[in-house]
Amino acid sequence: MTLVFQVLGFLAGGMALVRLLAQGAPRLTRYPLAGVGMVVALVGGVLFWGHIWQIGSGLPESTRTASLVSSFAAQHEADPGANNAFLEWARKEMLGVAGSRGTYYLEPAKVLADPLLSLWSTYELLPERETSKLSEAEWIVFYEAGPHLAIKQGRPLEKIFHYSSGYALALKSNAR
Amino acid sequence: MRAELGPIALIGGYCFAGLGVLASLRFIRLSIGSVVAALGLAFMVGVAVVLLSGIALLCVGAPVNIEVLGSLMALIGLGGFGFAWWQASWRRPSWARIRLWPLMQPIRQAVFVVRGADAEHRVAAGVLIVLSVFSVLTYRWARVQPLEAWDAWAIWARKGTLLLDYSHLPTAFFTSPVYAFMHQDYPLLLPLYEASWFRVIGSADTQSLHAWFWVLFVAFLWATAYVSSRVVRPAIWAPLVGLLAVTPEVWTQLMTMYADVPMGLYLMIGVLLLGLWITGQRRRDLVLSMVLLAAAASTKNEGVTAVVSTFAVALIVTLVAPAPGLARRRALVPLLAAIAAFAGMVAPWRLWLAVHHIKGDMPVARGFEPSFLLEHTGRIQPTVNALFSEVTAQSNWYYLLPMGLALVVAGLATPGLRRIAVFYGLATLGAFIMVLWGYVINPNGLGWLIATSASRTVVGPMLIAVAGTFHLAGALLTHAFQCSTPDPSRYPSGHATATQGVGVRLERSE
Repeated sequence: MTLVFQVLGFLAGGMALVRLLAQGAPRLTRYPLAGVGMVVALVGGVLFWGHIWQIGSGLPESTRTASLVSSFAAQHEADPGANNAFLEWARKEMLGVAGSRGTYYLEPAKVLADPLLSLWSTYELLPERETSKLSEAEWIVFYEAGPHLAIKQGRPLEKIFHYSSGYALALKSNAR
Repeated sequence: MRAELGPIALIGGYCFAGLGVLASLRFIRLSIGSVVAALGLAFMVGVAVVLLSGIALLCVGAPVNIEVLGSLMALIGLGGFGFAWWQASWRRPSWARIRLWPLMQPIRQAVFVVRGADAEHRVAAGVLIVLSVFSVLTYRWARVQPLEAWDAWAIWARKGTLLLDYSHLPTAFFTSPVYAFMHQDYPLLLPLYEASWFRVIGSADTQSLHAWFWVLFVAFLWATAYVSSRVVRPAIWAPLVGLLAVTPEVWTQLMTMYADVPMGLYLMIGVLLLGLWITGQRRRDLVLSMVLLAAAASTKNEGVTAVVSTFAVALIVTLVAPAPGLARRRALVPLLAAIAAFAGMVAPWRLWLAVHHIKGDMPVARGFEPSFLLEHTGRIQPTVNALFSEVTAQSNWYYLLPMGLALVVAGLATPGLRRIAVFYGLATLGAFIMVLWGYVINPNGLGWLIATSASRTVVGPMLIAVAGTFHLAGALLTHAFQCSTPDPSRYPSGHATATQGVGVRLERSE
């Protein structure tokens, strides 16, 4: 109902404006609804001038505040809780060692249960592609797990790269 | 150095390609004023044409790197200018002469215009100056913003980064079930737009990417002013352009870097040009409209549904009430040809999806089955309520809907404007119905769906209503005054010189 009244308000406002302007432009009185366009522009102008200062005046301060955040933190704002430094390191290692784009398997699987971390890690590790099958993977990314379990299970790992406790990267022996 | 000069070169490249297209369609003439006025539209058209070509190349397995993008820009720009020159040399010898103005002449002219401007032009100049300062401030602000909105990195920037890393389409990512969350069927224009930015700045920097989205928005405001100034007086279009710039649902959503607003920007200018074609029957409006609508449909799937409903309305309007003096069949032929051209522009991506058996999560085919729809009727009412509550939240939309509706009502009550009022009214309604249909057939839970997307999915239909606001506000006034509005010098030929919608007096050249 409010919308109907708003529409009627614009129509009535337009007709009233035409009546007001009728002396200056008598031809307008033949088209009373022509004023609707003028009222729309008038309201648009008021809203524009009112809000442009409001938004614009806050921008320099907001820019200064945002500039204080480090580029690394800003680039990883989507999931600041993830071990972004490790993911960044793992991506560079995979690219550096293999020199081309391959596939990886994220271990342990419980990482995938956290939807944010699961998706964010696949974004951070681009251009490497995640696979859900260990047999297809060329790399294993150990996130809060460490490679000891994989070693204990006797998986064929060609090379292990340690980042920190619980975080490592392993090149499978079937890799390129 | 690369971070500073790269973006300038990229913007220049897109503008060059767009100017070529505009010149070939005789939208612009070779004068500094004409070119500068059309730069916003040129950027949007350049992005559309270059990236649609890029998508077609990707779909046939070709790489799209910076060299290919640069070549496309050069080819399209030079081809367009060449075609314009060829046309001119055959039809208009004066067009072919490239005059070298004294450098100071345009500046003198500008000073003269400002001094001699009437109150109406001063209002427009004031709005544009304030908007320019606002644009610079926002650009500086945008380039340091972090990327945090979910879909922005999970879908769009991810695909942009993939296109940066691989150059060609990495099919494995688009076919792997592990990556189903990135909606593998979503169109590629926005990721390719992002990838072109990443390429010129040298990395997948998601902070500065915000500035790239802002560039598109500034170009859109510029293009809206340029296109609408043909039928709307400066005192009307200037405040409305300003209003669009500060409307929270438009500019704050744009900065989330989702695809809804970029799609809406293309949709709005495309629909406005289609509306101008309906009233003026200038074929170049129709051609340009198809390019921009193809860009909208290649940005987001909601763009496809909005464009399809707009085409249906345009066909109905053309069929039921053809332009004065035109037989139904003659009126329909160019529109049908244009729709076929549109289909050709969006086809490569759809064919690629079909070839690789990639499907979206929407049961589109079942969505036409009456039994399926009947089973889901319970979703209609909550969706309508949610969408209605979004578009009537005036703190978000600044009264754009009641403005548009009032103008449609005024247009319907004005005999000469009924066709165009019906077009915008039904196009807006049709786009809303398509959004509603999407919610009804969507397999996801309605509560979650509404909470996460209702504010975004209304952007397209709302911007169609805004296109109508621009056109109808101008047409109503022009109709009342019965006088010419456009600046004839802008258009070399074929420009509208009387009230749009009342029966445009055309100097037809097609």
